[in-house]
Amino acid sequence: MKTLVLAAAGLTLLGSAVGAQQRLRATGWGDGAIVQLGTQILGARESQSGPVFGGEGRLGLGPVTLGVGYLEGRLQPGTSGTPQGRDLVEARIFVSARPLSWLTLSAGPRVRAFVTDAATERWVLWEGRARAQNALASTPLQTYIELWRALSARVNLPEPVDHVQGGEAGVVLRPPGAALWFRLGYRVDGARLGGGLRSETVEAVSLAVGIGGP
Amino acid sequence: MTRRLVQLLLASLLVLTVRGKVAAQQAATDLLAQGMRAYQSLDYDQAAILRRGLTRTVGDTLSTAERLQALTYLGASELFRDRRDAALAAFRQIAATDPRYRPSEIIFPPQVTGVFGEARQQTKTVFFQVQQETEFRAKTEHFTARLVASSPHDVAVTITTGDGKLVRRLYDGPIADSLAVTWDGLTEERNPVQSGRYTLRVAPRAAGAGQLARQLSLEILRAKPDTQPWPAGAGLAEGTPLPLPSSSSSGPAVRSLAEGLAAAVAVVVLPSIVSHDAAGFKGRFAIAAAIGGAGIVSFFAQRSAPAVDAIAGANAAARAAARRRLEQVQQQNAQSAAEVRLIVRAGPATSVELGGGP
Repeated sequence: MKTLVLAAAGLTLLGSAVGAQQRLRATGWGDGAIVQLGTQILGARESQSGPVFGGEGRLGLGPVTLGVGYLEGRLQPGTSGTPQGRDLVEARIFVSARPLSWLTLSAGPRVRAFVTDAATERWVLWEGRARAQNALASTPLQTYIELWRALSARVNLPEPVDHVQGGEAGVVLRPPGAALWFRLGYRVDGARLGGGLRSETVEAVSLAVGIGGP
Repeated sequence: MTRRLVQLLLASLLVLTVRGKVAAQQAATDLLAQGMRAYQSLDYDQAAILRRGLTRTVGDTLSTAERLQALTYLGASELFRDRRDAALAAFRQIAATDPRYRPSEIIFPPQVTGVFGEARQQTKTVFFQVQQETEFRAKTEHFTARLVASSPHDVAVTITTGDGKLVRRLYDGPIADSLAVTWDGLTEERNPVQSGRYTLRVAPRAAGAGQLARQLSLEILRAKPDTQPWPAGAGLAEGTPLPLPSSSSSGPAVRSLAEGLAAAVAVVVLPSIVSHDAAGFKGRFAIAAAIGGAGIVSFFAQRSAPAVDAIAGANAAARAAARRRLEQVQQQNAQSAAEVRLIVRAGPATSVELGGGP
């Protein structure tokens, strides 16, 4: 039902933009990140990290943008915890709108999977995000801060999900006259499950190269 | 060898041609002098030798003045040989060549000048005095042709196309000694004439056999509008940035610094906000430093940059001035483009003998 409501809202917004006969905008970027996954269960902590690569594409029409993202990588165990590595695969779809020149609101589903030889931990999240981005005067730089929270979350773990939330901040360089832009950012999200019995944190330092609007 | 022979042959031909031409001129001049001497010796039959000289002087061997002189002596000689018609014919040729020419009353007796006057009265033609090239604005300025008449008569002056279609009637009335006819470059429908070949035609109104219509070939071109180039700095009116005045404001600088530092702090504190259990990725401090540094760079860059208000004010004033200059030039250019400038090049004048009257 929720999916239907969001899809209808997105289609309505896109329809209004098409009706206004606005120009289609396309944006895309490739992203390379060092990801660190921290898991804490009943006080025991383990961490894994590794490179993750992905990309995102967006199509904008008027005030509305439809985006699709995907990333994938292999996380290796750190000094403590399980010696087993795991694959991280993540995909998301979202619809965003820009009510103010510096503010973007978006919503959509995200699916994340940690795949080991033994099992796959699968997350399905419906997120709402708010992103503030503004240019730094007299420079080709922009800074941004983004915060998000899961409106609903499902995971195939025994503990119920208390909440999942995250944030990102970084700087974007768009050289004057260049079509490309570069983004350096830090993002983190944390999930709390079972009243604090379990928590998972994913942090990443990422560098993205994109074309179109950042 | 063959080449040398060809060169020799060509050189010989050139020498023969030049010598022949000089010989013809000398012969014509000699005949003129001989005829004049014969007239002065009252040997009118011998003076008629002038006819031979004139018939031999087709083209450029006698000047116009010499030719008119020869015709005068010939006419006078024919008159004294009781050949009045031949005398009138010679005098008519003079009138048709130069309407202002008069035989000298010292040299020629009244009998001759009287017949000459009669011939001139019978010859109804005009001569054109126009500038080789005239440029003027159609409708507001005009092209002028001065007409000199051989004798007073009524004329119709028209502009026609090359194939004789009427373009504009310029004058219909009497001409005494001379007349200035003007044309504003418009057709009968009051439209500017198109580029092309036209004819300025002057015909006696009472056209009779033997009378001459004079025609002047006109080549008319529509000149391109004489527009001015856009003024320097016209791009300012379109939004090109201006050199900026020196003045500064700290507002945007502080805002940029605050934004950069806020993003840097966010990177540092995000793990603790999002997840209490986060270990905190040490690499994020490098990101925070980069973002904070960007804010600081922006702060100092903006501090040394001119204030937006000052820029906007200066730009607005300069743009307004540039726009005014541009609009003025555009207006003048539009006016020039609306005007039709005509260039009239006068060609050779010709005479056309008219047929008999109705």
